[in-house]
Amino acid sequence: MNPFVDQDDPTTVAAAQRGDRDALTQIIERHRPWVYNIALRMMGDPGSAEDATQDIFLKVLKKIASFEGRSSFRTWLYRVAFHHLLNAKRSSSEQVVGTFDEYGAGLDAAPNLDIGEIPQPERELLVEEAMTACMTGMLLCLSREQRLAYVLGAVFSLTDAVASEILDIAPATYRKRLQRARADLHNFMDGKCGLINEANPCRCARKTRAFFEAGHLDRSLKFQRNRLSTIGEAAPREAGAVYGKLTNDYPALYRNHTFSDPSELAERLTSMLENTALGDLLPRPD
Amino acid sequence: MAHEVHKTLLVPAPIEATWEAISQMGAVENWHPNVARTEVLTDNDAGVGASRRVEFHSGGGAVETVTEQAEREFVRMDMAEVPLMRDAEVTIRVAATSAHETEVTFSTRYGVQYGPVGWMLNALMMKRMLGKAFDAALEGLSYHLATGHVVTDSVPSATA
Repeated sequence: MNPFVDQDDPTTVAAAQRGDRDALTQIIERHRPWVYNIALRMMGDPGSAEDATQDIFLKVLKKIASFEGRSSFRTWLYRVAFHHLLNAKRSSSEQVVGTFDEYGAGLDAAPNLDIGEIPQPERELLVEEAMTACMTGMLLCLSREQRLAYVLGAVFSLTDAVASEILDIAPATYRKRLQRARADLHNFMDGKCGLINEANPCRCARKTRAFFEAGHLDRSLKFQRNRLSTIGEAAPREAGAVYGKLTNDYPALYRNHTFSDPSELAERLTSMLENTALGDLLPRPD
Repeated sequence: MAHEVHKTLLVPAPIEATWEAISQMGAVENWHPNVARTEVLTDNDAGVGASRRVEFHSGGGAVETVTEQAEREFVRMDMAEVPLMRDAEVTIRVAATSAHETEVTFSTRYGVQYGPVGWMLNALMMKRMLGKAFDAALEGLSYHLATGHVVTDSVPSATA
């Protein structure tokens, strides 16, 4: 269920505010994959995204009793999440990636190798993984505000009304921010990425050959196990989504990326909820 | 900046047999599911200075040289000629938990090539793959020590 389309059940929210553990668990399970997948695009690596997701839900649990219903619960929860993602310490990936120019130089330096002999399904999976990693790096070249606007509007297809409400900015301001992010990112992809422009020499598959040769690939392909779906399947485009009418569909490439729900993160959040010290911070059940 | 991956498994074999399997440079092809062939490059097949070239089933390879070891405790090897990696080393530690079981830990420290792009490929791809490849190697070692069979390109599920 897409929380940016369907609102939370008010009965569950009310029960969670009273400290009902089942209701709190339901809220965490409903929003966890969405918070995590947005955090992953903001922080750039799974470890940092898991840490950020745990920090966000800790804040939510601490503050939930103070939710007064002046906005929808969804708006309140994602304001907590996005405030954290915009203000958290920069992740290692953010610090390393730098500017579009620096990132482009790294892409030029990585060898383009012949991919002819890589068998399927390893070949397809490797290419998909390399594409995801490289395109996530491109996102990190944007400022955090631009990145979040792009991730929400272009990748997760939030309408500008929903996105601007959660970000607590005017719709026109949000659209402008998104437009700038789109211009910067797409300009880079136009000049560098072979997925967008066939004249560009860079191809995900050619950058992938070295991984196969290095023997890093677990031949049982278990590394894909946390995949739930693609982002596009989890968050179908709604009428009114900002990118719905574009023909040159750069965001579609991002929407093909994996929408995942790491079991390790679920276990961490369950442990957090069961932690007795945290129990003192939660509202007392009736 | 160095990256690290660690994996541990309890294998059903005494420490003597486990140590022999991991410290003999030519023996890795008997238990590592990703290794197709090994060539020992030095006169000595074990100990500091011993070196081997491993060829992976995928067609790539690496040169590994023992830089440090303590008998029946650990062996540390430099890894050279590995695509995408630089300054890579792997350490295998063993510790007997009983007369018939040994805890084996694979650890690696490495840098990545190609600047920010290499960093992203490692963060979202290589680190996870290395962890899974280590899991497979440990399963292969466990299977080999339990059965005496040579592991080819996959570990039979009978050990699961």
